[in-house]
Amino acid sequence: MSDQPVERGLWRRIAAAYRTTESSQYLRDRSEGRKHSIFSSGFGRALRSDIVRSGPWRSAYPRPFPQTPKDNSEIAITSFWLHLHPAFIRRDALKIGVTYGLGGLAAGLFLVLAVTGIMEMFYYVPATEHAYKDMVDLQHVVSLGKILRNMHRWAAHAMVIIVSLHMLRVFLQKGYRAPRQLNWVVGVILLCLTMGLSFTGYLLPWDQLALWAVTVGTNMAGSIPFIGDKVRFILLGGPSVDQATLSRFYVLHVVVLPLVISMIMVYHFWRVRKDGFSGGK
Amino acid sequence: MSQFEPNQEEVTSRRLFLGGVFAFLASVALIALGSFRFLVPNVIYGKNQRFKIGVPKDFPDKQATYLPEQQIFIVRDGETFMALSSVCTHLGCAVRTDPDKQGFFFCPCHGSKFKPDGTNYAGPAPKPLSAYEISMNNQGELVVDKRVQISPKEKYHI
Repeated sequence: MSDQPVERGLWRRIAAAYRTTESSQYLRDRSEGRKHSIFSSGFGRALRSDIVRSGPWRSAYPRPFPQTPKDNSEIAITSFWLHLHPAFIRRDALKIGVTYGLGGLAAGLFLVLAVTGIMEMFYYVPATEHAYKDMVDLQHVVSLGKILRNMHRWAAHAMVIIVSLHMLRVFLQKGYRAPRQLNWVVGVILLCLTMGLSFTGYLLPWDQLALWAVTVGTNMAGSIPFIGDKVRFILLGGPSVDQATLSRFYVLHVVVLPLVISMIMVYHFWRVRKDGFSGGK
Repeated sequence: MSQFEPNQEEVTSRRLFLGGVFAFLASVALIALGSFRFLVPNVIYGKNQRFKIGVPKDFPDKQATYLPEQQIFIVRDGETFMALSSVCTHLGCAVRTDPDKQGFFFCPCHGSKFKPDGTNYAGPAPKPLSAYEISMNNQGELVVDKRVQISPKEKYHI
């Protein structure tokens, strides 16, 4: 057992690690005569200087390696990748009791869904004669297909639940109040898009459950006064659930909605940074 | 003349600027309208709504025969025939024959129940099942026309 003081608690340790920035680690390594990286060897140093002095590299990193906290924050402001990343973060904001990490979990699930969804697209054909068979093949014939499809399925269920809990958490902690009114509205739009993705994805297995669920769902849209029938017709691309519906839902599910939701998600996260974490107070 | 005075040759007039803005907005609106219209199909390749179903003796008496292609039940009671839609009037699921009650129908989605003439008597369905016109052609075959809805009381007598 060492007698070094250790930050207790997982989140405190993460926060402590976070505070130890790259530059200060680098300086400490150097002053204590420790080798910093694989680039410290002779060949490595030559390779590194070649890379670092190349045109594209200097264009990507026009500033020298940060040496001070001020350098760090300047780079965080000017870099495209780091501008979403806070120069400072309050220790409170990392407490599990404050945000429960629900927004982060939802974003993580979205990434899982994007990756597994793209992989499913290698085997799935959105045609009425193919869709169900392709889904069954994915479950029983394709190597690791069962785990892939179930990852997509369970992550989708989990995302709806987590997003709802995230909304509940923000509501209960009054996270919708000033200055975060706009981000609450953006969040509600994201919730609707999540539901839209969930509903459009529901039809794609083309089994009885999918067929009747979408029949029922679009008939609900059909009961809107005056324009209901028209709305239903446009959603289905015809009078009943058929190939046109499958094509429509597929395109919405794999291209339109993911594109829209990712753009709005990025704005949502950026606003979280600008407004400050709601858990801070 | 002060140094902040704009160069008159480079200034865009308000009229030109507003014209540009309106032209841009109008083209965006046009494209949006066009895209919306694009999504409304003009031609639906579906089944014929008027079709032959066979001669009367093909249908067993006191029973509802399901024709899955056409989504209708042919209900025969002696000499009378009815063509009932199998589409539930609640939210459009496919109605089935009730295994517990001969000649009755029920919907597996939300439990609506219908009498042999299509009248709703339990569950959330707001209306009776639709009934369609039946006629007979020169070959003695029954013909159903799904474009013509009739009252369930107007049964077809052979």
